[in-house]
Amino acid sequence: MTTSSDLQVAKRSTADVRLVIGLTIVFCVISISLLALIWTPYPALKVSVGPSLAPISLSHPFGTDVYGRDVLSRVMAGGLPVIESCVLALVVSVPFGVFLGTLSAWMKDTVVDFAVSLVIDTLYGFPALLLAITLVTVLGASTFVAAISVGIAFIPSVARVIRIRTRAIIGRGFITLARTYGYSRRSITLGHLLPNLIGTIVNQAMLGASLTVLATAALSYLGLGTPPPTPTWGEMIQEAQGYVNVDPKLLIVPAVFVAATIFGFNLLADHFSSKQKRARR
Amino acid sequence: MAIVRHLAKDSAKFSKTAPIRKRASRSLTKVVLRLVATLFLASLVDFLVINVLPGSPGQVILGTQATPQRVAELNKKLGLDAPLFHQYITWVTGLLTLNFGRSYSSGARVAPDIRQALQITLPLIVGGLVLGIAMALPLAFLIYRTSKTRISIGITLFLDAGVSTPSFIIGLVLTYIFAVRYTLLPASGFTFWSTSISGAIKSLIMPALSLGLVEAAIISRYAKHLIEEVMNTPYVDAARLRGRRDTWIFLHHGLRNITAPLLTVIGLEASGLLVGAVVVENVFGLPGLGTLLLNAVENRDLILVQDIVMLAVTVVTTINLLVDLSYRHIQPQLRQEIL
Repeated sequence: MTTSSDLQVAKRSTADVRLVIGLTIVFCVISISLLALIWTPYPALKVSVGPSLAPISLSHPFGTDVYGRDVLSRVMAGGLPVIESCVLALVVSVPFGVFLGTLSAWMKDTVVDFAVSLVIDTLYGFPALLLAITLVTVLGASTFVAAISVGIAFIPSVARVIRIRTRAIIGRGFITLARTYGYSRRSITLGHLLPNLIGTIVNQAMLGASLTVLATAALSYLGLGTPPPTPTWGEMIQEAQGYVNVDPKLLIVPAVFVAATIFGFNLLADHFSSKQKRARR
Repeated sequence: MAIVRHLAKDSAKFSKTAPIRKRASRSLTKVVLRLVATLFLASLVDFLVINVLPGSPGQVILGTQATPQRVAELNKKLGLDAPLFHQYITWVTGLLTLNFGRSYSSGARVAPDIRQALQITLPLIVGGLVLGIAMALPLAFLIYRTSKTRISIGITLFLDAGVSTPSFIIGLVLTYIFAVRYTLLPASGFTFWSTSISGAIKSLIMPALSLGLVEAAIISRYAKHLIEEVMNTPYVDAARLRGRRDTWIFLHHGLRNITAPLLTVIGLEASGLLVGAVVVENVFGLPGLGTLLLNAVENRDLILVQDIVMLAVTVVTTINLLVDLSYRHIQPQLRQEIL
């Protein structure tokens, strides 16, 4: 792998562009969602704050929907369940995934590794949306159920990546050295391994967040996510589908928010994976 | 002393592992056993989630207000009063003989419904995949040919955006363009194959395109790496020295050599396509497997949910295992990229 120095500079700058754009998008989404907690231009649930299907104007920057609700307020409020789901899903998937991944890497070729692999393979067969639909059928639709099931479905992806990275790191000299000093596997994992896995973990977390936004948008579009009256982007898209010939912007606004949020998280994931690759060289 | 023993044990393990693992991956029996074990566990998860989580299926079907008496009656009628183990065995042996059981709501066999739904979902997924590959390869080659220019950056950005757009949103945009603005294609519904083959194809074009566009974006990102790699090999250089043009070389040598790793990438997309199809069918009102599943969820037809989930999980698990096996075809660099 011989790359000239200018090429590396060029690569680094595109990676940084990704970081900047990704962070900007994610930061904007999080801040307008949090802002919706204390302030929206109009109450997000209140009907007839303006005329029905109003066009874009100063008083309604994104217009109003068929019930005269302010679209901007609803989009802002719709960001909240997204952020909530992402946090919940990551709280489930990242710790479990990292634990299972490091465990099976340390216990390579033992019964433990075999058992963990079997569990990972099994869960890997359940796509996030499918697991969510199954759990929603039994437990009823809620943000919590949707987010937790996406989180569970993402555990195997995290575990697999962490396992491969951990195996590679364990083979390196500083781990062997720590072993000769007599450190236990647990203290090596916490003190030496995890700091080296941070990039991978952040990369996986961003991918997980992107998957969560996608899956929860699809779920609420199907009416299986956050139940009404809370506005969600998916539900707004579903409502707009009926009026697409009258007012396509009702569809475009929430769709752009969904796509942009996923895009932002994907850019961050890309940034952290390319950073790792550079570090490995 | 203890440390020394510890390390000795470790090093012995390391020296032993490599050949054993290689042999293991080659042994077909082990692969089949792994598949069976995984599918067994998956069926247990599916069964237990539906049947053990809060309340009996009877309770879920009738809702929380139902009297215990009515729940017990319904459970008895549906054969849900038998021991769980017994129910599980009945269900699994039924699946193995393609007997998917009887609907909780209508009492009819569900197998014909599933078979009919597959007539829509399978062509949809295959069509989406074919369209995806057909768009991805030329795009990836274009990126390679124009690499480090504005065109390639532009296409790459476009693809990044494509990867980030859920297929159902693409579907809705397509509906707006092709069904509302220009009434070229039906916005929803399905003309059955037996009624009119061209009608069926017409109603599948937009759904398949919505899946295909997302797949094209995903596949072309990997294909770009594969093409870069294959076009740097000595035999490509040799062909260049013979005076062949890059496009000719790619079509005659490159394409053949990236097929195996490309299949692996496509395998990784199996679950994405399946899930995409579930939502996209809903957008276009296609009575496929996804619509069947969502109707079952709405009607609380738990056995149908359980069956469809198991069907999908079986497909995804099998493909995942095949992908695992095929990793040795992929170059190490790309393996890190994908995993």
